[in-house]
Amino acid sequence: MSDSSVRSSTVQSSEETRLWREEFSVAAAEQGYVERRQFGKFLLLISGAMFAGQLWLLAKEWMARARRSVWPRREVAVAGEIPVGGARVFQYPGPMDNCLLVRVDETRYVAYSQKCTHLSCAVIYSAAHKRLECPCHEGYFSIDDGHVIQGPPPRPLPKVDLELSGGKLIAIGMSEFGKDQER
Amino acid sequence: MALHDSLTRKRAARAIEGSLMLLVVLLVVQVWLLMASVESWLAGHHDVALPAAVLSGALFAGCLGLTLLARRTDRIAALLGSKEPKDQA
Repeated sequence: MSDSSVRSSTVQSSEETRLWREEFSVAAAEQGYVERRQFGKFLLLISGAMFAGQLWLLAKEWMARARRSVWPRREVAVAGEIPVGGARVFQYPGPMDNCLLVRVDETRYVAYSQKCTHLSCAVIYSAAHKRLECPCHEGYFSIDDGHVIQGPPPRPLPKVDLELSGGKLIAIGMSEFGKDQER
Repeated sequence: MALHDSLTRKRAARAIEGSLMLLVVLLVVQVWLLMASVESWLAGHHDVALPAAVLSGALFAGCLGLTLLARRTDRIAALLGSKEPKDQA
């Protein structure tokens, strides 16, 4: 290849580059600069979402606290309609709070919140072992007072206070194991 | 002129990168905080909701501050970049 042909090809390529740059006048560095700013905005948006999540948790806690201050009286079952060793789910104090009513023997009924104190899975009654069991992580609770027998749950199950009135079982409030004994 | 301009832009870009890194660190802490507080709340430790929300708010304010700082740096860099050629001309 001769000198003149090399020179002409170089000139041609530089000319092509110039034309190309005129057509697409966006520098790669500048593009990156803008993208970083957008990334910053995106991070701020995620941060705002995290804060909103915390506020949601706080609002939920305040609503639950307001609800806990006054316990409603609610009929949950008619005495005798549940067989011995049987259980029934009912809602107390709110429509979203599932509780479990268990007939332990002929005359004794107990009721607990159905939410496991570990990660809120629904507990079930095991009549064979006479205990409440969480199937998610094998947490077991005593049927007598709700205390943790085994597994990861950090606290006992909240107990629903029951009253037998006119052959009907009425939920009158909730208490946690150990808290009532302290009072 | 062009060299000066690119230097200013480079400095601004570096400052923005620094703020972004800090933002990422704050965000990781915030994600961990939300995860830990939800887990505690579900486990019945209801008292964690308020301090966690306050701390998360502070972290969000930090993120907002860093973003504003980055934006301000960017604006100043753009202003200097536009002034420099006029001064030298």
